[in-house]
Amino acid sequence: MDICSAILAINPSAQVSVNAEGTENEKITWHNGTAEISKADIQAKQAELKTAYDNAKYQRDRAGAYPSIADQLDDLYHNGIDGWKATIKATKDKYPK
Amino acid sequence: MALSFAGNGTITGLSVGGLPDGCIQSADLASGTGGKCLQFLQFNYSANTSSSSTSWVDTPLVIAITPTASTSKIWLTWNINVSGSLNTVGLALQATQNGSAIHIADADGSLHRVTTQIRPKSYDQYEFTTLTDSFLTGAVGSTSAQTFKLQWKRHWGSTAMYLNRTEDQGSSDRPVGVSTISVMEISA
Repeated sequence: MDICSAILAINPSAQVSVNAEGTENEKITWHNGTAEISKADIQAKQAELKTAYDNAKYQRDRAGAYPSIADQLDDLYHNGIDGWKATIKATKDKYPK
Repeated sequence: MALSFAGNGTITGLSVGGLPDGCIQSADLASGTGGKCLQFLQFNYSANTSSSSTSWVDTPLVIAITPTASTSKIWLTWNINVSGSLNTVGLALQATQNGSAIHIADADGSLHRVTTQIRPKSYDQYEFTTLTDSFLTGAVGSTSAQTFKLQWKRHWGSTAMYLNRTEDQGSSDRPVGVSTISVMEISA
C-alpha cells in the first residue's frame, strides 16, 4: 500500500504529498500544519494495510467475476431465486475465502 | 565591397552579419513574421506522486522558460495521467505562471474556480484518466524567466489522488505512466 494511503489511515485529516515513492528521490511534504508521522509508523501501517488488502483478494476476484446486475436480474426472471443462487455460488466457489 | 546607396532605394555591398547585433528587433520586421516558434522546452515526469492536500500544492510538473523578447507569448501545454482511490475523490487542477493562476474559470459566486477537474469513480483506482490542455499567454512583458507550474488539490472526498500511478498496484497489469509539460515561445 502506498505511503499517502497509510498516512490517511493514521490521520484521515492529513494534508500531505509524496513524490517519487519507492525511489531514492522519495520525498514526503506535509502541508497546512499537518503533524509529521514517523517513517516507522507509516511503514507499520503500510504493512497492516497490505495484509488487509491481500486478505481481501477473494472479494476483488469475485467482484470482477459476478455477472452484471442486468444479467443477474435476467437470471432471476428466467431461473428463479435458486437458479440465481447457483450462478452466484459458482463464482463464490471459484474464489473461496 | 564598398557600401553604396542607389537612387532607386536599394543598398548594395552590405555583408551578411554586417549590421550590429540587436539593431533590428522582432517588432521592426514586416508583418507576417509573427507567430513563429522561437524556442521549445519540455519536461517529462516519469516518477509518481500522490497527495491529499485540500489546498493548491505543486505537482512535479514545473517548467521555466526565458523569453528572447518581451513581446513574445508562451504556449503552454500539458498531458498528465491521474487516478483516484477506491473511494471517490475530486481532483482539481490549475496552471500558474510565476505564482499566479492562469487559464482559470471566471468567478461564479462561491463555486470552485479551476483549470480542470475530474472525479474518478470507484474502481477507477485501477486506471488513469489523462488530462490534456493548452493555453497561450499574453505578451510576457519582460525577458525574465517565466515559471509555469501545474498545481492540484483534493476538493472533494477523503482519500488520496495519484499522478503517474494508480492507488492499487497489487497486480502486474496496473499501469505506471509519464506526464509532460511543455512551453513554446511564440514571436509577436
